[in-house]
Amino acid sequence: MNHRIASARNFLLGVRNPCGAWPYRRGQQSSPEPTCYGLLALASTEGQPAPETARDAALGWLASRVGPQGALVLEGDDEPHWSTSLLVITLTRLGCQLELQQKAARFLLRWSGEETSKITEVTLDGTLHGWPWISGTFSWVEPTCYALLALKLVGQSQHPRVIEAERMLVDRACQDGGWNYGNRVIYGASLHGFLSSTALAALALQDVTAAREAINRGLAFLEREIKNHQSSLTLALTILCFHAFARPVADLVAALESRQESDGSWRQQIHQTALAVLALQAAAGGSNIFMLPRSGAKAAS
Amino acid sequence: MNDRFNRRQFLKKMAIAGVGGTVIGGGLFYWRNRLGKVLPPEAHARVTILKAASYRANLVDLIRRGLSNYPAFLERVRGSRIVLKPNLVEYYEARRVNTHPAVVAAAIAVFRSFGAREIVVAEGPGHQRDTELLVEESGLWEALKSEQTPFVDLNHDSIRPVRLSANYTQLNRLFFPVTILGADLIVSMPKLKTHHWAGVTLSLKNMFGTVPGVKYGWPKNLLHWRGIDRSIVDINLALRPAFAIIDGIEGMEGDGPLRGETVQSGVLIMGDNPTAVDATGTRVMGLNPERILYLQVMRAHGGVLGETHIEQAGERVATVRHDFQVLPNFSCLKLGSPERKLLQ
Repeated sequence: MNHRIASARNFLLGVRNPCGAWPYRRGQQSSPEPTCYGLLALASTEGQPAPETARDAALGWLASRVGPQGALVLEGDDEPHWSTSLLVITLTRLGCQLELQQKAARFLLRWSGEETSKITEVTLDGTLHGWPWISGTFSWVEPTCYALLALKLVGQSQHPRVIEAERMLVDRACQDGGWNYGNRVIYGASLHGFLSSTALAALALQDVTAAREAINRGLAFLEREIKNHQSSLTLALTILCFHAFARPVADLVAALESRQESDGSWRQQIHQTALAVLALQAAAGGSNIFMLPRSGAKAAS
Repeated sequence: MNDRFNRRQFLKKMAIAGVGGTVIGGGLFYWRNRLGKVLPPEAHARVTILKAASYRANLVDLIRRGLSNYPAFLERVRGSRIVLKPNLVEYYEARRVNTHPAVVAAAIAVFRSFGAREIVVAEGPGHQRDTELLVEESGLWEALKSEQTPFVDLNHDSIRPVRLSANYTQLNRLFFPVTILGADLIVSMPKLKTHHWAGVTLSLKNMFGTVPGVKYGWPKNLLHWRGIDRSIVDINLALRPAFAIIDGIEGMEGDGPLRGETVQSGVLIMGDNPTAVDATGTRVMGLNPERILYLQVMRAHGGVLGETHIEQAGERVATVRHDFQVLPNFSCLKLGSPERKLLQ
């Protein structure tokens, strides 16, 4: 393990809350997203898997946050949370708590964004459903990407919900080739793509042959824009994306490494630090949490 | 057309855009029921308008002069924990979308000089998940480093539920970041902009950025489903921002809040009654605040909207008024427009 990873790993181990879960920043309340990425990052550190007690405590906290429907809920809340998809990805990658993983996946298949067919101000196919950030609202790009990756990892690539959501993602691609939060045109004006959303969308569609053109435009957008718009999150997600598509990542790795701080973190942001570790590990030949098995390529959707 | 039908359409239209929506006319029935037939008498407020030709002006001096018009507020500043909430949405080099970092930096220096115990700059961008990218590219990161002031990403803060006393959204409660809930004083620092769904976006609309993405997503779509006007009112009544400073040195007209054109409007507008500040900002843009529903509703909750109820300090509206272009569906907002519609 190189010193950067070791330093980040120590940071992650040191910022856990007493319950074993991670907050977004040291001392804040525990949250599912940093906990999922934290677990995955520790598990990815070659030769030094997460200490069993750390792993068990974090998994125990996640399990305690799953409601009767199978969805994660935030502390003090009782509504399904979008990070349920990340829970499925985490449990699948760690190969544990498979009953919980299946329960959460079943919830995802029942959970959907609202229809948007009567809206004229934006240009999109509102009849296509993906996943929302929160119940009772529309489908947006990022939660749809997480849900697609989660369901594909549990063998649901051919489920009608998955196929429809793939079409939704392709429909939401911006004119510049990227994806943003989920609107490509408002009042006839084209909106720009965002790097992080584009990387996630390309990853979510990686096995869809019919989406190859959209993916290639997305990758071209990333290659063009990443030179001038860099942050910890953007670099980490772009590395994971390029790695999945066998594109060169050396420059991006150097840029990401240069942003690491002396305490081992990336801006003291825990989910970003964990994602940076996952990206650097993938680039160094480790596994990529968002990469789907090659055998699962789909001819059409 | 009954109220239930109106409301449903209203919510759907707003929700999809991710940035809200508008309906012209109708729907007053709902609000009148909520507010009651008799509105309380309107109070009085003081709003200060100061000319500033560019961001190279002595902004510290200007903001200090402006704040000096509010001695009671300055009493509260001493020893307080203050959260400055700029408007940081997306970054485009060619477009003046965000509150300029120079204005934020100047405000930090002034509040510090008036004895603030702690100052935090905080924002939860509504579209862009990558706050770090936005804060760096907008220049805010460098400005805050110079001022040795922390930035808190409200989208990823700890959150707590707050019961909604007025509950126009019918959500009963909203989660807010603890950084915001722990502030002694919240200062809303928007940009002077038109908005392609809400008509204008100023200090009250700017408070949307306090709603945490970790709970509500990017965009904060639930608020659009429940109605932008209703959400603006609920958020502001829950958080009660104590002061507003509008960066109107460069504003945005037309297809705001992201794709409009830059206007060299050359003003800072501030005051301790955010509704009055927004009403004045709207008039400076050559638009009629009386036609904006959420401002009308805020009047029922202590906000000051009427021109005769606002004491103007510094410049007068007429001397700095710069008529902003609006999208055709907002022509009813133009001052002097014969259209008698209420934008909601």
